[in-house]
Amino acid sequence: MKTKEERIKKNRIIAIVFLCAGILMAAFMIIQNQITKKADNSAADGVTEAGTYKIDLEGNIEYKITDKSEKDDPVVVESLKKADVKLPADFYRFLSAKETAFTETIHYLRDDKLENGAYDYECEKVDEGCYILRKGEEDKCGLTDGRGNWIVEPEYGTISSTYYEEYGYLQLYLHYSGGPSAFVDRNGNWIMEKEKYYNRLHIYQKESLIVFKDFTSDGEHYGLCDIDGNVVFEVTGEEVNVLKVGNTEYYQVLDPDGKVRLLDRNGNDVVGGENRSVNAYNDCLIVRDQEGRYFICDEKGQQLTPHEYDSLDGIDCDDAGLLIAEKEGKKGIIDTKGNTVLEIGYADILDIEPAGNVDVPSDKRAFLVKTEDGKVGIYNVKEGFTIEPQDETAINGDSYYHYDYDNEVLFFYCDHLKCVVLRSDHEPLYVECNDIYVGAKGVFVVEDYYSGIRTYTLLDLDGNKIYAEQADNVDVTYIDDKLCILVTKPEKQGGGYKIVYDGKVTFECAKDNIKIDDENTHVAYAVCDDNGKYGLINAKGELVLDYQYDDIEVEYAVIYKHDLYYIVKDAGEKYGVMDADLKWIYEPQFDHVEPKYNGLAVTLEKGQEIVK
Amino acid sequence: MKKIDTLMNKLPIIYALFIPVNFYLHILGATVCNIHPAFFIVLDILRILVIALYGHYLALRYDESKNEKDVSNMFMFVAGIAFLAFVYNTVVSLGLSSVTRSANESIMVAAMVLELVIETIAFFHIAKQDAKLITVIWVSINIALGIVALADLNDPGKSAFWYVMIALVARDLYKARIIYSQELVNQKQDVK
Repeated sequence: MKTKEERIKKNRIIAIVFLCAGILMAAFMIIQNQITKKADNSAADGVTEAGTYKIDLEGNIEYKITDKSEKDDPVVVESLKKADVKLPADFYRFLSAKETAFTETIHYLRDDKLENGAYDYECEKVDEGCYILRKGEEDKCGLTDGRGNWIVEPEYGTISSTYYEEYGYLQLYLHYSGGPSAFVDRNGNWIMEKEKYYNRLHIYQKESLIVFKDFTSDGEHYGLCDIDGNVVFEVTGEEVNVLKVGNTEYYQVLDPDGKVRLLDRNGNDVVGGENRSVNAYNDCLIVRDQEGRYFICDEKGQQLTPHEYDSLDGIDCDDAGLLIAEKEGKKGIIDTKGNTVLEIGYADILDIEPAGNVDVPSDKRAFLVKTEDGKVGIYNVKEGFTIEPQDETAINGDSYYHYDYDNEVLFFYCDHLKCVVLRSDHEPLYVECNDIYVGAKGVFVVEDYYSGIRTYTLLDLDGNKIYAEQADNVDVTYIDDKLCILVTKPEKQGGGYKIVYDGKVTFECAKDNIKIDDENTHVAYAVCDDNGKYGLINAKGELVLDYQYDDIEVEYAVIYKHDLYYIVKDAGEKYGVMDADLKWIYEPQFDHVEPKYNGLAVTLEKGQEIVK
Repeated sequence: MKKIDTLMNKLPIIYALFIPVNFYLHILGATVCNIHPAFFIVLDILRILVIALYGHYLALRYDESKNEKDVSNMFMFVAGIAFLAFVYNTVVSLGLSSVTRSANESIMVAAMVLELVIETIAFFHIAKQDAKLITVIWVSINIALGIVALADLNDPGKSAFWYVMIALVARDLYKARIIYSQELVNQKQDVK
C-alpha cells in the first residue's frame, strides 16, 4: 500500500516523463524537418539523387524537374503561414493543426463532404492592399485588404483580375465556371447597377464596355456602357456582336425580323437599318441590302460602290484586302476601296489556298481564273497573270485544281487519267497517269498503276524522263543540289529499300534491315547488317555510325532553334542525342530524353554524371 | 495556502464544467464560429493544468483504508497525452514541422480517443466506489457513445452526428454526476 506522498511522487514522475517526452518530441519534429529540407536542397544542388533534370546542350544541369502530382497531400497549416497577408477571421482556425483536424473530422462525421482542397486556399495579389482570396471550405472567392478585412465577402465562384491592370476593374463571377458577372473596383464599389449581374459582360475597348443583360419578357436586352458604368444605349435584339472595322468598333444588332443594324458607340445607325447582312472585312464593311445586292462601305459607313454586286467574297488572307466580286454572272477582283483589280468579265475566279502551312504573302496569293472560253490561268496581284489563260480542255470539267505555290505549277485532270500541267513560259504538258505531283523543284513524279504493279516515273519540267522504276513508293528530295530518291521496292518482288543519290545507287537493303518511318524520312535511318548489328546511314545512303550497336532507334525532335535526333542503344536502353548533321551532342547515356524549352529533359541515375 | 486549498477543493467542479465547455467551444469553432486559435491554445493549456491538478487532488483525497484503486495516475496520463498533443499542435501550427493533412487528422483524433478511453476507465473505477447502478449507467453511456461513433464513422450522416453529440453531452452530464456523488462521499468523510 502506497502512502499519499508516494502517490504524489509517482504522479510527479509521470508528469516529468511526459514533459520530457514533449520536449524531445518537439525537438525531434523540428530536427527531422530541418534534415528533410537539407536533403531536398542538397538534391537540388548536385546530381546526387536519381531523377529528371533539365539540361542545356552544353552538358550543364539547369534544374531538377519535379512532378507536383507525386507529392503527398499539401501541408495544412504551413501554407497559410507563408501568406504575406493578414487573413480575415474566417481563416483563423486553419492556422492551427488541431482546429483544422477538428473541423475536418466534424465535417466528415456530419457528411458535409469537404471537397479535395477544402483547406487549400488561393491567394492572388492584385496590388498592395487588395488580394483575391479563395476559401477552400466553401470554395468561394472574395477580396481582402490584407489587413484581415474582406473588401468583398467570399461569395463568388471566381474573381478575375483580367481587366485590372488596364481598367482597374475586378470581375465577380457568381459561378466557378463563369456565367453571370459584375464589375467592382479595388475598393469593392460596383461599377454598374449595384448587385446586378449580367449574363455576359465584356470590355471590348478602352473607354467602352458591352453589357449583355438578363433575358426579359420583351427579349434579350443588350446595352453599351462607358467605362464608368453609365449606360450609353440599350437595344433589344436576337444577338449583338462586335465588329471591328479598321480601328473602329461597331455593334452589329440582329433584329428578330432578320434585319441587321450596325450601331456606333453612341447608338447611331451607321449604314441604315434595312439590310440583310453587314459584315466587316479588313477596313471595309460588306453590306447586303434588302434586294440582295452587295456593296461596300468604308470604316465610317461611307458607301464606296453602288448596290450592284451579286456577291462579294473577301479573300481569307492576312491584309489581302481583296474581294471576288460577281456581277451579272461574271467575276472579277476589287479591293476594299472599291477599285477594280481584275476587271469583271471572267467565268469563274477561285482563290487557291496554299496547302499545308506554306506562308504565301497576300500579293503573291494565286487566283485561278477561268475565262468564258474555258481557258484557265493563274493570276496574282503583284505580277498579274503568272500563267496566262491557256488550254481549253478545262471548259467542261469541274476538275480538281491543284496549284503548287513553291514550283508555280498548276495541275488538273481534263479527262480520265489525263492530267494537264500548266507552267509559266512552258507549253501545257499532258500526261496520262494515275497521279502526278511535284516531288522536288523541277521534278514531276508520275504514278501509274497497272495490273497491281506501280511504276514511278520522274520527269523534268519539259516532260523528259529522268528516272523510272517499279516501286511501291518513291520519295524525292534534293540534297546538296543533287537528286536523292528513296525507293521502296515492290512488295511482290520481295520488298526492300534503295537510295539513289545523284543517279547512283548508294545503299540497298532488305526491308527488315532498315527502320523507316514518316517522321525521319530524309534525315537518317537505322540499318542493320547480316549479323544483326545496327548502324546509321544518312539520307544520301552514307554510313554515319558503324555496324556496332545492338539496336538503334531514330526519333526526330525539334527544340527551340535546334533539330535533334535521338538514338537509343539496346545495351541498357540508353538514349543519346545527335544534331541535324548527325554529330553527337550527347553520346548514349540517358534512360530517357525529351525536348524541353531550349534544352532537354533527361533522366539520370543516382550519382550519374553527364558526359559531353 | 488557504486560497490554494479552496481552489483545490473546487477542482472537481472546475473539472466537471471546464473540460466539457472546452470541448464544445472547439466544436463551435469548427462549425459555426470563427475563433482565433490563440484562444484555444490558452484553453488547452488550462485544460492540461485542470486535468493534472484534478489528478493531484484525487491523490491527496485518496483514502488508503478503503482499498480502492488509485486513479490519480490515470488523470496524469490523460494530462500527459493532452500535453503531447498540445506540443504537436504548437510545433506544426508554427510551421516548424511539416505534416500531411491525413497524418495531422489521424494524430489529433488518436490523441482525443486515447484521452477519452483512459478518462472513461478512470471514472469507471471512481463510479465503482459509489454504487453499482452508477457504474452500469456509466459503462452503458460509453458503450452507446462508442456504437454511435463507430456507426457514424462507417456511414457518416447528419443525424448520426447529432446522436454522437447527444451521447457526448449525456456522458459529460453523467461524469459530473459521478464527480458530485464522489464529492458528497468525501464531504461526509471530512465531517466524520
